[in-house]
Amino acid sequence: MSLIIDKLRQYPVAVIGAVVLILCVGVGFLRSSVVAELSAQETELIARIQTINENVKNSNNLEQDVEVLEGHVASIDERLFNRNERSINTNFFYSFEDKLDILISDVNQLTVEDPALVKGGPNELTLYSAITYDITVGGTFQEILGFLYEIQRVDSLMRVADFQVDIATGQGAARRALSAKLRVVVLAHKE
Amino acid sequence: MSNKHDIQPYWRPDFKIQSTLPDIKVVRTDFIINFIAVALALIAVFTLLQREYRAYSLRSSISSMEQRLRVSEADDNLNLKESERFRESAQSVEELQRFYRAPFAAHELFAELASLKPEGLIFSRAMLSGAVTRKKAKTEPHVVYDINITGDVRELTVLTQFKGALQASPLLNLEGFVVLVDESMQQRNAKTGIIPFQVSISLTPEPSAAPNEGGEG
Repeated sequence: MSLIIDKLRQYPVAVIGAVVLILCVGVGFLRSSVVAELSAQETELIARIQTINENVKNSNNLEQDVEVLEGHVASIDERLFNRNERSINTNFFYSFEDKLDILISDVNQLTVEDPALVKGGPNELTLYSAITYDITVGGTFQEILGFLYEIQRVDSLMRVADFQVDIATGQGAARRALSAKLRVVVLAHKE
Repeated sequence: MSNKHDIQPYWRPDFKIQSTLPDIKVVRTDFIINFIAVALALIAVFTLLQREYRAYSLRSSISSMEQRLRVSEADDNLNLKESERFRESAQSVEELQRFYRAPFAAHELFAELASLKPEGLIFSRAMLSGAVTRKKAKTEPHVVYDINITGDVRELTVLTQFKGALQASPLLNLEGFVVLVDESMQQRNAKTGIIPFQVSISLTPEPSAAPNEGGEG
């Protein structure tokens, strides 16, 4: 003890300096993680603010775009077939006879879906489903072509997936008459 | 001769009391010790203060950022909701595009085949079919399209001309598809001189284009 007192008397400034140094090192050690924690928090907040700024930039005119897009979706939904309305659906195809000079001899709603549109297919549908029809139609080249075109441009959403057009044979077949077997796929409500 | 080893120690006793003698060094020991201690203490204090100031700045910066976040979070949530609505709606449109995905429309193909048909060649059947295939078990499935035309021809040069026209047709030369046109003939009818023929066109997606299935319908 006397040694310390002696040293304190001999080097008072040095001892006080040493005490300050020890105190500073101690406090510094205890608070060493504070800056690191605050830096991490700041980095996280900067990232969140950057994300929000990006969101703001990307959301420019988003509300209007959403309204337009939802309008399109509503338009799609209005034009979907309902697979349970078999007679209405079948009659839809027969009604082409009134618009075009063709003879539709058979419309058959198939139970199997187009393999390209089912689960695991290359064009898999998840929000909608597809109804497949086999349609047999007779007419001239222009009439058959007109029917194929009408199928594509009609309001309901459908397309011809496969076709087979033959020269019509049989007793009643007119000259230049063709017979076509079409596989038509129609977009429908999800079951 | 004498050397250093021969020097004799003092022969007189040394009565100096070193501790009581004044420090006569150029720089006094007290000063060096005090200087080093004070310098170290000052460095430590400065380092500590600098770190505390950094912590203080970070705290104020964090506080200001948190305030900004509180203000913009409501708008951001609204934007995210709108974005989610957009994503859901876009999915429907994407699905519609997938539904119509085909290299060509049926009426376009039918009209093209008729327009390419040369004089002296008769079609008896034109057929389009698509089949889902996979190259390997784990690869993406894709649709392979087959077009088959059967008919009659008198001159084989006309059939060659028709095959050339099919190969040159822009409708059948689609980007992302490998197109193969092949013809085959049956025996010529000895009485009429007519040769029944079949032309097969196969459209297979190129390996890199398989996931997208080529053009839009």
